[in-house]
Amino acid sequence: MKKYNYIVSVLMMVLSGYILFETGTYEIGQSAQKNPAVWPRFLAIALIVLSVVLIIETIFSHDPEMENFSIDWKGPGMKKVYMMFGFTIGFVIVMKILGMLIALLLLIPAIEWLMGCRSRVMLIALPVGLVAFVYVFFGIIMKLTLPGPFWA
Amino acid sequence: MNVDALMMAFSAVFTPYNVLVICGGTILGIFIGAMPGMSSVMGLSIMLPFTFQLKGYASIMMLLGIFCGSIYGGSISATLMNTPGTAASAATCMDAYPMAVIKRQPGRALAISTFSSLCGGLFSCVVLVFGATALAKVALNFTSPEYFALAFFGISIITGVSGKSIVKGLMGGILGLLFATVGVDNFTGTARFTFGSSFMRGGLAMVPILIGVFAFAQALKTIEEKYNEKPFTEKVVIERVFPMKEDLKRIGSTVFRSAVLGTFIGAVPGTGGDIASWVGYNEAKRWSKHKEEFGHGAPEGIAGSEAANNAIAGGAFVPLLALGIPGDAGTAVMLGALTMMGIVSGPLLFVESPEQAYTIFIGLFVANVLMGIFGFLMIRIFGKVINIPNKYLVPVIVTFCITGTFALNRYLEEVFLMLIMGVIGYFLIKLEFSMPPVILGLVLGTLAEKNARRGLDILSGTESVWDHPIAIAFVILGIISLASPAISAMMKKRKEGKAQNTGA
Amino acid sequence: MKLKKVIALATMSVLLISSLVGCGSKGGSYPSKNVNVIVPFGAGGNTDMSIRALLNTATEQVDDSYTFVVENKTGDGGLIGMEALANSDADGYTLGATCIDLMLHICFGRTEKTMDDFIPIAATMADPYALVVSASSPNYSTLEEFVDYAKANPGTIKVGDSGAGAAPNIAAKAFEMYFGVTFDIYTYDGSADCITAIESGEIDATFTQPSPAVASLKAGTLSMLGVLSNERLSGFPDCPTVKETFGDEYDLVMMGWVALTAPAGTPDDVVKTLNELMGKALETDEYKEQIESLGMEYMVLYGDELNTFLDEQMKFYEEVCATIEL
Repeated sequence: MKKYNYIVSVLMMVLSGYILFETGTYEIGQSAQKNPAVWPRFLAIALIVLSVVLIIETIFSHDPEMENFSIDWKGPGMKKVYMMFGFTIGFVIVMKILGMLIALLLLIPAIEWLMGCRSRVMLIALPVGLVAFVYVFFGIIMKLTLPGPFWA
Repeated sequence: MNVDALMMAFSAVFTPYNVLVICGGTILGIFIGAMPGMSSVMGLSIMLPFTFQLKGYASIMMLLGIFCGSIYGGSISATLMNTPGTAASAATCMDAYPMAVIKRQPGRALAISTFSSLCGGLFSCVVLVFGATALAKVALNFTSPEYFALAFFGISIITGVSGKSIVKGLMGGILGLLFATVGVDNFTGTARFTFGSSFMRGGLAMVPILIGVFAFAQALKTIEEKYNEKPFTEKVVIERVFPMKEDLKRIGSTVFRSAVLGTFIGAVPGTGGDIASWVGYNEAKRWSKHKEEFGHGAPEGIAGSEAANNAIAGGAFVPLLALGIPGDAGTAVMLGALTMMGIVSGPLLFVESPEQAYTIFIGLFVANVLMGIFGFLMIRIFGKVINIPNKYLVPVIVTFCITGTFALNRYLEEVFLMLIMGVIGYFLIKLEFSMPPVILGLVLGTLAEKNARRGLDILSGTESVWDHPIAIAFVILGIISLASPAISAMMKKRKEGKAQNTGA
Repeated sequence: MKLKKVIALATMSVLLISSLVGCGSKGGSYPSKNVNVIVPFGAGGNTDMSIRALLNTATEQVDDSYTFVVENKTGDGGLIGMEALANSDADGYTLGATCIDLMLHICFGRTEKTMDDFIPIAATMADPYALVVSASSPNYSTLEEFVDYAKANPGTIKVGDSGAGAAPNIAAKAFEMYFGVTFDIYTYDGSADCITAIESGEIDATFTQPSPAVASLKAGTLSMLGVLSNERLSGFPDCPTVKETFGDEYDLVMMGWVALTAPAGTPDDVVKTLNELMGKALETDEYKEQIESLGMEYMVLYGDELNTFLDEQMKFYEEVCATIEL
């Protein structure tokens, strides 16, 4: 965990640095109301202070939990999560081209399959049923125009 | 109290037609609330045109049903899927989900949340009937310094919900506050952290982030931990739909405290269930004898959040009816519906046409009772969700995350925001950050910033800090609240140390 | 092997659904499906309620084959919704509300859109801004007294607005300019919040359209000192206009209008159909009742008259904005 705490602290300081940089470009009036930078700067400084506190706390900590904590980035579960990230990106692309309903029709069985479902009936029934529900509930009852395919 | 007017109001509400309409509205509200992303405001504004076709008071009755039902409905998906159906039930996730899914007691969790919701709602109705004008006067004393102090008090809860590391909790809170600064600054028109995107100019909406870091991140976590899970051999049977006696004893004082807090926070214009539920949750934790159970399915935690957010319903009507001022977006829609019906709310309503005011009170009361009845009836049906294997439940949750987020404002960008926030949230949780501080920061960020800046200008003028005793009180409470988890941790250590010393 | 079958079946169902979805969009005369109406402000507000009142009335005029669906797309002072409208398909199935704020955004160069990107169909409201103050103020109870007090005490009257460059802010700035006074300006989220702030005593006055203030005005906690219009309001006949109080050189007229508009490029016959439909709806008693119960002034303004009105308004705001320093 110690390693991750240092990384987090540095990332937060970089974020604060960016905030201080961007707020420096704002046009600032005379009163607090006319000063769009005052609040973000206050937050950025607080974030820097907290990052320093986290570093100090981590250096002086003898908590065994903190020392033995590690994250397995390559475990079988994580691989499933990375695949899910891939599915999500795929979903976004398909949605842009073929619309939300069709994209969902592909995403749902993909997740089922990822979670270990091999039953063909469920791989088809669940997406069809769920998409039909979405279409009826959101599309017809709630009268939402769901994002359609690019040609419609 | 005008007895004639009261009788007229009774006969206006208790027609078979009107009661039926309230029933319909309440059931619809529960479902809308239970769908992630569908808020009560959305339910109200979608049903608004339809309600105009109803006769007489029926349209208002329907809206009251939706209003009450949707606040309660949010707790159902929070309990069963760790997905707050509305922003007001984010705090309910904290303990209801562990109780329902990890301890596998969905019936108990839903029973406690339904009971607390019912009590909170009814309590606020009673306050509305007897104290609307008095409470409105207190609420009207809220100027910018008081609002800032209230927001500060809300933010101070962060240390109480930080999980393992208080420093990381505070960092998360600041991240949430920073998310709230994205977009055009209303005071000056300056675009902040928008990176030239026109979508970002409008700011980051709360609900997509909420759904992302709670529901989508949870789905990713379930995929990591439960892929290839064997189906449960033992199905959970809902053994009871009413809370047990022991539970009632434990949550009694919490329900009352949260109902008072929720009614008051609801009565202050501009603050609502999203804030009240966290305050109720944190106070429940502060006063509980079983602090260690919080986060693992403490009944007080569920009650604290649910009683507070349902008490908003009555509270929000205080400024609406007594002053003609909508306290939040939901009551703004209500105000529109009322005026379209020719009911002019405001101080004169109680003088000129008290029967109209009483009709709304009684309607709200009936809606709350029905909410409780339907809630208890549906526990058996909803509770079955827990028996669905994760390999089917996760795709369903992801689908609702996506469609619900889209339904909110019809922005595809918000769906992307939700997905990105889910991934960020997933990694932050892995690094032992907790998500409630982020949400608290996000919920209260705008309120805090605007009132801080405006308040500073007002205080640098003719007024002094000492003109604002309520604000001072809230700031002191906030400081105590910020420091108390650290202090209680220290005291525990010292006690343990002493115990060791005497033992040796 | 199994996977292949699954994919084949999935593809089939995809095709089936896409053909089903595709069905709705083709068909005969306009309108053959639901019409979306983008409202760039929140539900329950002025813009939203007036548009909904018109659409409700219009829906009753037509058969049940279609209806109007309101979408509230908020953000960035209404700009996000209005830009979404301008960028949407000009087929008559997406309409939207535009309002005075759009003109102000254009005048201050905050958007690349112009009025030419929108075809106005019908105005749902055009209410003037009015000076509203706390009724318990010891220093003034009429418009003249207010101006005298403001002149004698520059920078002490606290005025609420809803953001730099939004209509209430422009009204306050124009008032300062015409009378040579200075206000102490505080910003809130909208007119309703300004009213609350006057009630709580945080600020002294605001410029608002009458409808958000109706409840307080009727109860007598707030009072309306002057209207920024040519004629008195029918709902508040006792409140004088600025012009009649101080003479014609104080030509301070500010109308906040809301109009149902279509994106530029919408076919002429569609615009004509909509014009007729909305015009008919505007003239019903039902619409009149709804608008008046909202505390707004009833008027019938659509088609060519609306175009002329908007042209005049645009000219006026271009002049005002050029002389005002934010």
